[in-house]
Formats: sequence, C-alpha cells, structure tokens
Amino acid sequence: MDAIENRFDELVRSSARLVRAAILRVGGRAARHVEDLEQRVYLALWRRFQAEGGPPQEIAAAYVYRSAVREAVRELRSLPPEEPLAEGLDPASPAVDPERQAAGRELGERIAAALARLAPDRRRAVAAHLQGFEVAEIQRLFDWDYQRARNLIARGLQELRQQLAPEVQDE
Amino acid sequence: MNELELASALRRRSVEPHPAEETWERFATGELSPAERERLLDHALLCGECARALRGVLALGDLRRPQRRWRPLWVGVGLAAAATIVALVAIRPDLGRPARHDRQVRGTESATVAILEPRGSLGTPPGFFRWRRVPRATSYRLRLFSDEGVPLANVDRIAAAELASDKLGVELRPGRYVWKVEALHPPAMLASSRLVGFEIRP
Repeated sequence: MDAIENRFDELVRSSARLVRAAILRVGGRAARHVEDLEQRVYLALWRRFQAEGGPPQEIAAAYVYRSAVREAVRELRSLPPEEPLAEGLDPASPAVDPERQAAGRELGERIAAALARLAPDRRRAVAAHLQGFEVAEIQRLFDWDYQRARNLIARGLQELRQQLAPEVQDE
Repeated sequence: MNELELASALRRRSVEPHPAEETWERFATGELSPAERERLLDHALLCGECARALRGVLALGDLRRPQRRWRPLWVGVGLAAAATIVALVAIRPDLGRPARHDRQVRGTESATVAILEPRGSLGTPPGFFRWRRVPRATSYRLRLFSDEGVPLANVDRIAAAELASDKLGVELRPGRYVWKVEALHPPAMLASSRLVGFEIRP
C-alpha cells in the first residue's frame, strides 16, 4: 500500500502544475472553483490507484491531463448559461408562467430546426456565434480566415431571421 | 426577434445524448478523426451545455497552436523554442513534468501533513480527525469526500491539529470516505496531506 501511496504522491507532485494549467485553461468560469476541481481530479486518480495500483508510469501524466480536462468539462456543463434569458423564457425560473417556459423551450427547437436548413458552414458559424464564441474562436474551430468567418456569420444570421420570420409573425 | 433572444433560447437548449466524456478528452488531445470531430462540433453548437464545454476545451488550442506573428529574428528564435516546448507539453503532457529538483509547487507542496486518524477500516464512526502539527501553520482546513468524490465537508480555521467529528456538519454513516488536511498560514498554504481513505463498517 505504501508503494502505491508513494507513487500517488509522486504523481500529484509532478503533475500539480499541469493539472492547474489545464483546469485554468479549460475551465473558464468553472476555474473559479479551481481548488475543488483539483481535488476532484486527484480523487479520481486516487480511486484508480486504489483499484488498479495506478496507471503505468509512461501514461501517468497523460492520464492526469485527461482527468483534468474531464473534470473541467463536467463543471462547465453543469453551470447555468451566463446571460439572463429574455424575460419570461427562463425554464428554470419558478416565477415564470409555465406556458412561457414551454415557449422558451419550443423557441430553442425552432431555432435549431431553422439552423438545420442552412448550408453547413453558415449553420456552424451562426450557431457558434449565438452560443457566444468570439470570431477568433470560430476561426480556430473551423480553420477559417477572419473575413470568411465574419461573412458566414452575417449572411447566416440574415438567412436564419428569414427562416424564422413567418413563424415569429404568427406569435 | 432580436439576436439576444435567439442566443438565449439556443444556449438553454440541451440535446441528449451528449458526447461521452472520453470523446471530450480525445478532442482536447487532438485524437478525434475528422468525422468524429465534425459530429462533436455539430452536436455541441446546438446544445448549450456542450457549447460551454467546447469553449473551455477550445482554450487548449492556444497550447496546441501558437499564434504566428512577425518578430525580430532573436525574438522569433526564442518564441519558436518556447512554442516547441509548449506544443510538446500539449502532445505529451508527461514532458511538462518538472525536473526532480523543481517539484515544489507554488511553495505549497513542499511539506506533507501527516495524517494520524482515522484511516483503514473502523467498526464505529471516528470521534476525531487528527494529524501532526505543521510548524508555522496558524490554522488547518479539513476536506472530507465520499468515496465517489462528492464533497461532504470543508471545515476551515481549525486552530488545533484535530477536529471533533461532530464539527464536520455531516453524519458519518457506514461507508467509505476520503479526507485530507491543508496547513495554512493565510493567505499561504504551507502543506497538504495526501488523500487518506477510511471505511466505517456497517
């Protein structure tokens, strides 16, 4: 057991910078809880050490890195969206009229359906833009130059509005 | 309908099934095939939860793909060397391991808090959590987790090198637990214990 614990301690010591750097980079807003995330990474590792005596030495650091990514992704996915929803559409708000909650969910589905009718690159550019990605991030995701990313967003948004226009007017 | 309303509705949309955690890890390490990557992106961009995860993982792209800008030659050489090291760390994280003589992290992991009790298998819930005193520490923080890693207690400002179980604020029922202690000299953390497990038998 001591040998396992010593290996674990060694891994924690040698990986501490890597874990923190990965959490800070991946975590974004979740990185505010960086210490809790670090603990979760180490707990996951500790359980694996207990169960298996630890990963092979040659992949140990890679395993730590993946654990850090996994915990940060979990945390990010559990966070609520940053922006307040347009009034009355927040499904999580107890004060909201159930009909409007349903309307909020339905609107999301209609937007997704309208996006699906766009050409693939326009769909990706507009969806990424609406999800809050910066132009530079969209460029990196799809390997587009700045002008192409901007054009796809602008034209895609215009087309999306046209797609949604008849439905919106019905409301 | 304005852009804010469109964005708000899309960001609150959740589409199941979500990509597996392993898929995210492979995306972060650049191991997905082009088709797998496309599937992940097409899902994530229409799913608010996964879009947040995607933005986070995308931040690692800064490590994998350093921006190229013109610089005087000597700066360029330095940047190229640094970029090579960073890229190697991203591809082979084990290369980021500090050399043995440089393994103290932020001055906080240089010492270990020795855990005394509880540990191992116990017939009854422990009355106290005890550890060895750390010189210069003015207080301690105890963290207790379930065996699944769920945080159960986080008690701060412990003056002595022990804490009565009833101060944890949780009932210790039969099961497996993990705990650790951090020795503090606020705002610095002087030392941290290893994670120690114990089991309370039914």
